[in-house]
Amino acid sequence: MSQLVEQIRHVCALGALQSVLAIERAVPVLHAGPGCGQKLWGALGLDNGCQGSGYVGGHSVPSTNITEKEVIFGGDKKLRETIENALKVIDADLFVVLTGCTSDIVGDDVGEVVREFQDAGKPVVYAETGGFKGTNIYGHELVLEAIIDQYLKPSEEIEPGLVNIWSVVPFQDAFWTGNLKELEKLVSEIGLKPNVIFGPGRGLQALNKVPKAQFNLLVSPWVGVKNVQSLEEKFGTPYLHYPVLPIGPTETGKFLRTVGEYAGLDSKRIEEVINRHENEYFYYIERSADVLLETRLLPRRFITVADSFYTLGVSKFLINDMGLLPETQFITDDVSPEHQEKIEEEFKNFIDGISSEVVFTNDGGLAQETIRNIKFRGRPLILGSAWERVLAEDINGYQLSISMPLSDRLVLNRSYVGYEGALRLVEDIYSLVLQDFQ
Amino acid sequence: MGYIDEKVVPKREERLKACNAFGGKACQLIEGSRGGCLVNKNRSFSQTCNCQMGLALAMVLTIPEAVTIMHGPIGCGSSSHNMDSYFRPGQSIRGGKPKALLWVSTNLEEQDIIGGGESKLEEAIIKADQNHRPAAIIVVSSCAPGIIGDDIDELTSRLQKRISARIIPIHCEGFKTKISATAYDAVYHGIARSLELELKSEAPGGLVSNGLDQVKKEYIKSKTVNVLNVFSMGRTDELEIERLLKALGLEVNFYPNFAHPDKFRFLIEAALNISVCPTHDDYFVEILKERYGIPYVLNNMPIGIRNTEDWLLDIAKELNLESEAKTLIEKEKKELEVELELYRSILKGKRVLVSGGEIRVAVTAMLLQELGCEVVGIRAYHYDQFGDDIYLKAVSGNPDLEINVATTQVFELVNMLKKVKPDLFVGHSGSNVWAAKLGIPALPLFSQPQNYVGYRGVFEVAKRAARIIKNTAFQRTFSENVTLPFKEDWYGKSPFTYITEK
Ligand code: SF4
Ligand code: SF4
Repeated sequence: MSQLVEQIRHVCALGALQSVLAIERAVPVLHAGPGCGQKLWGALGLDNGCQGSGYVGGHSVPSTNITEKEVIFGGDKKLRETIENALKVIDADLFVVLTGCTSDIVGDDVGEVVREFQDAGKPVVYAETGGFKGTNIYGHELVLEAIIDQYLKPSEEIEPGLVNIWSVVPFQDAFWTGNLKELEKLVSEIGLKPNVIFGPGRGLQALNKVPKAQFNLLVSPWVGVKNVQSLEEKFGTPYLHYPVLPIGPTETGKFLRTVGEYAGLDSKRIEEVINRHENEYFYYIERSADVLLETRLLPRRFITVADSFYTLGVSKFLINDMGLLPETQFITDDVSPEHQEKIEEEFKNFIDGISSEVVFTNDGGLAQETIRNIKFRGRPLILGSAWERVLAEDINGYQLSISMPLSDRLVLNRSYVGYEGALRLVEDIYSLVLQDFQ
Repeated sequence: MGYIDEKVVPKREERLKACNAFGGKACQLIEGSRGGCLVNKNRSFSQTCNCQMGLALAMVLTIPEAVTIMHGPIGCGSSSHNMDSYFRPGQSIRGGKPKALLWVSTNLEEQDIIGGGESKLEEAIIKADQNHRPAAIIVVSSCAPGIIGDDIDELTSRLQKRISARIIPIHCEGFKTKISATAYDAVYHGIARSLELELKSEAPGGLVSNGLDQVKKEYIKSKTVNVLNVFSMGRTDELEIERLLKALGLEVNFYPNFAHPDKFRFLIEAALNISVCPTHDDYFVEILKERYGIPYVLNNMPIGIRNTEDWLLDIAKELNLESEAKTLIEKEKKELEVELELYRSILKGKRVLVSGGEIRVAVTAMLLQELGCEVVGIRAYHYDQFGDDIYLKAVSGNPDLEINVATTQVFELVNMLKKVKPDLFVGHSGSNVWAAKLGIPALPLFSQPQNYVGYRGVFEVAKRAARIIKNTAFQRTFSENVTLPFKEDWYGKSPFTYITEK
């Protein structure tokens, strides 16, 4: 991680409370300062695509609200009391205790307290997510590890065709519900039975099925590798790691073929699915081509300042399908060093030998400084976060927020994944350009 | 007072015996407050609420040409990007050139927690000064550096010698106080200790030597007042305040929100400091009185007909403008009466529950009573001695009115709403959605672009409340299709079951 951070694009590990909230009827119980929950929810939820409280988020999240007393004398008692009463008051199926900086520094024995509840048969697990330990993306992995370790039970039988899908980080990616749904849809169209634990209508029923899967499908540049490895270790479930979020026909076709082949599916069926989608996709592209090809409408160069999911996925789409040219791409989700090389490889691997420079930094200040020093001919397209609004004005670029913080958009079920998602992205980018002419 | 020489201001639990947990009748609350025993109350179950750091940020991030450094791990202060959309329009509406919000996190990681975070803070201050050449650098410290014992005062005073920006250290570690309003004291403390609050000796041969100019200056000063603005009142409200005070022949300056760091040097060129919220400013107005002999008014909030009147009369009394004030009040009230007529018939008898900041809820409750509503419950984020007189006024004739002191605590709110079933809920941001889940229409307790203050505010609130009640289709369909996250038997219990005495 960078030393100092200006304009943050992720939060701290405790931000994984939002990953818990993404599982229907699961509730985080914070062992943290009184303000942590509100700030993290504000950053990842409310002010990030207007993703509000939902069922039990926002100000409804139970929290010990640590004070001086707990810092000095320890917070075990306060935590025990809070869990006990949360079980009485809150109507939920799974309670995930998460620690913040204060309790991790003080050194409360959270594991011990939680085990008392587990021994009594209560659905309580815990993860130590003190903010200084890492980002909310790291925290997201910790939460999944905790659930795998402390909650999931091995399954007697394996259900053929059942595939767990792991991908974008809920709430960090404001489009997560739409994106996961789209992945689910694509996977089911080629004849598999997708299982996703996050989002509406899934919950513990989906979670409980995880150990039964034929394989785990991880669609992610790096986030979640640790989790699918753990699932393999614990339940013997193999995994397929597909590193690119598939956006647009080129990548989505490749994605479907890869999954199909891995699962041993009939390639004829997969080609049929791809064909049908491509026909539909190009029906719309054909209609819009007159306007798109109007030279003054096409920004030729683009920059992404986003999570690795989007920098990579969007770059692939804009270069391989839309014919744009890359400037530098900034990857802001604090990719751990061991994964950086592989991701960099992907950026050397576009059609026609095109490659793009990438910078790994979570310091938005640094990214913007670099962008200001680039000499653009024509107006660039900047796909980043709301932080880039002022920058775009200054350098006369087009700006669309796709990555956290998305404080300038309301996101419901929009997705940028697959064929449908690519069409949404084209709509959004070119509406922006058109509006500028009005 | 004498806290000003200390690095950290005491928490409000100590300084004011403030509390954030209570459930019961209004008369018991006031009695408890006067006896000083509310401070012992606690909760054995709680939900995430807010911390003083958040409130401190809401103040300091408005200050133009400043860089705010959040000294802590990256999560604290993370939601501050939403302040950008408050800060930029706030700048331009006040005539400034809107710039993007500048803030930096020292991003403390594991090794800093072990080895201390001071060197990172030092680097951040130097970098902020070099890169942005700001007028001020505001250092806001969060829980982690507070626990590991970073000495930010020593560091900042050492660095101040070689840095041109004024460095303002603010101690606002969340865990240090249950009363997040301690933030106001912490910010004022930082300002009073680090910024120049007076114009240092003028250049030789300047205006002071001229006797006539001196008289002129004194006259201007006697007609100038400072109004201490608050986060929850936007420019629209400031304009209403300005309109009323101008009608009394006064010039108005607003501090501290949106005030340039250099502007504070003119702070003492005023005849009176005026608070618009007693629980916001007591610490600062006292300092200004002690140091510079400037009197203050601190009794009230100008919301609702009666409280606007009392507030104006308080000011007039200090400045010998009573007869002018009375004429103004009569005129304003007469005009307002005509305008309110239509809304009174709609709002008459509507049962309302009000929830939010200590003083704000009480004066808003009175405003709603003035419009003919029946107040059936009040929830305050915290409570202290500044509430006593206002609450007495607000519940006069109904000392048994149910009061809940709670910083957020949705589970208590929902339980109360289920039992009281009001026709309208007036709530702090973050709470209105929970009322809507029960089908209850909600009017936000504050919203910066809108007007709530003064006589115009009364009219505006009446108009908006009437509109909200007129079509509740959203709340109705919403409540039929979502469930609340509490167990059924929770509603059978008292909302105050988890408030403890210890
Ligand atoms: S750690 Fe402390 S200062 Fe930071 S958000 Fe939590 S309570 Fe507030
Ligand atoms: S960084 Fe630590 S203290 Fe701050 S919000 Fe995150 S967990 Fe809380």
